[in-house]
Amino acid sequence: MNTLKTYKRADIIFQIILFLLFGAIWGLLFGLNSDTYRIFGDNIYQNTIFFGRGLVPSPDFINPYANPLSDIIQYVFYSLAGARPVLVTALWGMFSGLLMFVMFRTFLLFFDKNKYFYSAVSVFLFISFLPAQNYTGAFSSPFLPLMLIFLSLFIMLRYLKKGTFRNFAVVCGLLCGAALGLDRVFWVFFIGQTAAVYYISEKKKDAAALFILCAAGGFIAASGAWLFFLIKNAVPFSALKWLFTMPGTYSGENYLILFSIIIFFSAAAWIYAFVTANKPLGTSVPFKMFGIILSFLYAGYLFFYFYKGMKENLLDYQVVLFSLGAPVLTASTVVLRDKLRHALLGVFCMGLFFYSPPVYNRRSVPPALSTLYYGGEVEKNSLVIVEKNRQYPEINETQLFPHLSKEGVLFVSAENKKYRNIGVLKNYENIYFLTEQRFPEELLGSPISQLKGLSGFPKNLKLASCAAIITPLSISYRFYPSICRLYQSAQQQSYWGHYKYYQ
Amino acid sequence: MIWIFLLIIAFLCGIFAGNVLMPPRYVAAAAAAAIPKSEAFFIKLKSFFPKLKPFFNRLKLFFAKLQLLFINHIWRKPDVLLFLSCMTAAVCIALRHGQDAFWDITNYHIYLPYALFNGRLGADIVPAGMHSYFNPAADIPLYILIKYLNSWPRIAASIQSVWLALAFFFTFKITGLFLDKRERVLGGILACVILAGSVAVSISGTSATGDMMTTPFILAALYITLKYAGRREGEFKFSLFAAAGFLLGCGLAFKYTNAPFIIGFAFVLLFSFGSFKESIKCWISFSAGFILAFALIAGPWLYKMYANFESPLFPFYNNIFHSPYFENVALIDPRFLKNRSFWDLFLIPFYAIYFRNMVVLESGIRTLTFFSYWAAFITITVLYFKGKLKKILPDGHQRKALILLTAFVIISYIFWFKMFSIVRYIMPMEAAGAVIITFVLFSLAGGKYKYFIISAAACSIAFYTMGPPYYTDFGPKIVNVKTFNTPYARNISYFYRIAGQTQDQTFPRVEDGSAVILAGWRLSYIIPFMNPNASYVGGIPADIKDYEDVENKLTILRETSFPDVFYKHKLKEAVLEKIKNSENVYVLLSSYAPTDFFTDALYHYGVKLNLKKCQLIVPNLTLPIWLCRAEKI
Repeated sequence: MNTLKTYKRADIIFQIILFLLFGAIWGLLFGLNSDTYRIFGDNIYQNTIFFGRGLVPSPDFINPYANPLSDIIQYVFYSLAGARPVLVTALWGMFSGLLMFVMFRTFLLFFDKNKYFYSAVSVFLFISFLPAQNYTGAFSSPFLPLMLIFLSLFIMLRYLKKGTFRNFAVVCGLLCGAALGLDRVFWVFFIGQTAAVYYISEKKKDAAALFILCAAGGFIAASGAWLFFLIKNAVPFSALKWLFTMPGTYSGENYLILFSIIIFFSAAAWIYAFVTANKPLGTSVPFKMFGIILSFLYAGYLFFYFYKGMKENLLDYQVVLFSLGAPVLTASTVVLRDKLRHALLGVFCMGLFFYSPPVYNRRSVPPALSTLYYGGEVEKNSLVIVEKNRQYPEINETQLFPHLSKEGVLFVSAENKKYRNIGVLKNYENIYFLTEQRFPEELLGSPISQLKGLSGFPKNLKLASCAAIITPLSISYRFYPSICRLYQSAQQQSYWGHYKYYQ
Repeated sequence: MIWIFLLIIAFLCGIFAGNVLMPPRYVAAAAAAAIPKSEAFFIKLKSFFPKLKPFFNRLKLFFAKLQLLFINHIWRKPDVLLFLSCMTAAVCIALRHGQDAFWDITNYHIYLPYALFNGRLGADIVPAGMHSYFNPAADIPLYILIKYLNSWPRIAASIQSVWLALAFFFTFKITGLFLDKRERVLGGILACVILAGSVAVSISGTSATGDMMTTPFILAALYITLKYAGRREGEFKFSLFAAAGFLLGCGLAFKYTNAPFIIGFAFVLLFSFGSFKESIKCWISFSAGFILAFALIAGPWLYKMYANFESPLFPFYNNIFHSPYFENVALIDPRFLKNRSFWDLFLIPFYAIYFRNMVVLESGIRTLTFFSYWAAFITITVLYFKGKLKKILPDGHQRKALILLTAFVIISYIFWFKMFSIVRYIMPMEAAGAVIITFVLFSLAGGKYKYFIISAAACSIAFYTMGPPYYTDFGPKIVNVKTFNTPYARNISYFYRIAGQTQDQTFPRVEDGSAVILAGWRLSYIIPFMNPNASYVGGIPADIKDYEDVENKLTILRETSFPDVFYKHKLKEAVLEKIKNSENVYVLLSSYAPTDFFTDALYHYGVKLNLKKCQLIVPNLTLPIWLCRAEKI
């Protein structure tokens, strides 16, 4: 008996190592430099303010949607090895490998015959699918909550088989709720799992209520701190509308819709095979569970597809949908004979692998999250008025805040009308203007009206001097921000900083 | 509603998958018992919806009839089923790529058949450069399609894809020669997938440049020859070889760039037959067919060229035929032959793995197919010398056919490399190569997941070339031309600015008896839409040497930098005569080319551009074109 246990443990450890290695390779292949602007955009800033690294949170720039805890692993990786992005990508790829392992073990419960092969194919299909490729090595990735969800699903499916689910409902609910707290797209999983619990359990209402209660606990545990942080920092309620919109844009919608339809047809073929009992797959309980949850995932996806204003923001939902769509796609080939089934799976694998067009630019970036700052330092108790990058709204100036920040420095948006009042501005000794200007020397000596972002500000603000800032995105995205010192005409003009042009 | 509709479609697909894609014995049983496999499903449904019983009964009957029709007319005729499947695949590929606006199409493939049917040879002088004298036989189908289906580009593209379908068909058949009966279908499909993903097909497989059109002829000849290779007299008829020769003759007559495959084929023929006596008979049959086809298709044009220019192959090989209308040099495109060493023969497959420009095509490509051919060739060689080929293919005829096919690929590749090195001309070899790769995959892979491995490997080879972002699309149909009366403007963005303003949908009218000088390439496709009572002349070289700073230099180089040999005609006097006898002279000018490009050349023709009297033509196949008046000096 002990030998068998040891063998099983060794087998699982071997699988973990294999998946970790595969994940690292996958990460290096696809993850390196992907989703670059997000790394340098919101997410570093969000994590920095949340974990209290000396930066004053600015309500104008907080993204209430992005719970920093969902990026915690990447943030730790970057904090430890930010100067070596290849290492970070490999590490994050290993985490993706871990997710693949959990998915693999979950999918094993779905198949009966040749289960290792079909499960591995399903994992490969999932990770080859465009959104998953894109999220490998990226910040703001739903991989951590997805892993929690799959852990929950694994426990649920595994122990439902044995009819002892109720004992594990607490763990399942907590994990599912935590995933929901990290990324709201997982509400479809939550509803699906609740429905599945209700359908499968003997004491339906009790089991479902227990699951929901535990999920609520998980949700509070994962997002409570962030919600408290938002309230504490007086994020206006209008900003919380973000909770109902999705971040990111994607142009390859046709591709995604095509695969959604394929999943739909696969599900139909699969249901047909199940109903006619031609070739039953797996044991009935996980089989039905998968069906119930997938139907909710699909319903959620369709809801958000047709929801006004959501058509371009389906990437996270695609990941969620395809996480269960992949094994269904694999299983749908059951209607074919072995030879054709295997051949078709080969076509699916390579088709998805090669036909996943890159969503975001995967281009080289300098090997650090560094910012070259040619100028003096921003003094304590300063006000920095920030104009948003108009050319690439996703590349925002928040990435610069940790570099410019000193004690008491407050960053406000140029669109925030509160700070256009001369009385408010007088409270600050030093005022700066952070904007994207490629040639700051052109601004020197120009009237303040040339700075478009300051058009509504008091006219006694004058421009003193500007300094160029070079970031890792400067070359690839032509992102050349400048920081300009302003003075109020009543004050004496003083020289600050110096201009140095980046070669 | 749409999702309910899709759900119904999904169920129908499920029924189809369950009943039609099942093995034939199930299908037969299903036909006999009117879909018994789905009976349980229908009973379940019926219990939920008893009122729908009549509807389901009718549906059952309808499907039963459909199945019987399918079984009687398609399933029991495998070749019909195969061709229909190939056609479906080819139509899908054609619709994905669209009708093309390939350089050659706009430069001469539309003009040549137009000139042939409208007797313009002699009325126009080199309007499409020296390409004006290429054999237009292969362009006739395209011309007919454009003439009658120009407003239906998808249908036109689908019809044009019949050549690709035939190529798939014969690739499938040739693959079947080397595989076990149980593996033929899958092997054939995978060979077709590799062919569809080969760089030649993915860039111009659905185009009408003649390359794809001639491929099925060569493959059909190859199929017949290989099928009967090594057989004794009595097992085949000599008329079959005459047919094979005829098909190969068609392949060459339609497109002379198939010459490397004729050489490869000669090797196949040389060693195909058993005894010398039989070989002689076969060779004679084959040659008779070949010569007949060549004489029928290319003969009239050869004669026409000889009558007009004193060289049957005018303007090619004038170093041999010495036509007085061309300098005594061989007209070849040397762009891909320059600086080629012997080692490039082996290195091109490696160059092509990464995306590069000007390796075997003007635009960049990346492909694994060349590399795979070499790998397959080496594998077969190793298997042969280790004696393992005998175990894999115990039938001596099959073994001989495989070795001949491999030799065909290698010899064709060597001669292609030496003569052209242009990937578009290599399609028959790509098909033969796909067969060899498939055979090697089936020979090497084994075990429980054999078919998964084979399929994944074949798809990797194919999708590596086809997959984004490196796949090429040559664009739209030839309609929606807009014209504007406006002075010449050099700024290209100007065109796009005025494109939204008032426009005239008609083509610019030039007076009867006018002479229109086509300054540059890719202009002649406009001629069929213009006044047929005018004369169109061209063949003048652009002067791009001093234009280092022109906008979009790459476009200009790609469009105008043809080798000097293409301008070595002696038709200048005839052009001058045309211009001299015309009251009105116009110049057609591509918008990418600054006017100075042709100033010197036009000066030699005794005319000067009047840039204040220009019309802008905005077609959808090329960049905008200027039609300007010219004044005689």
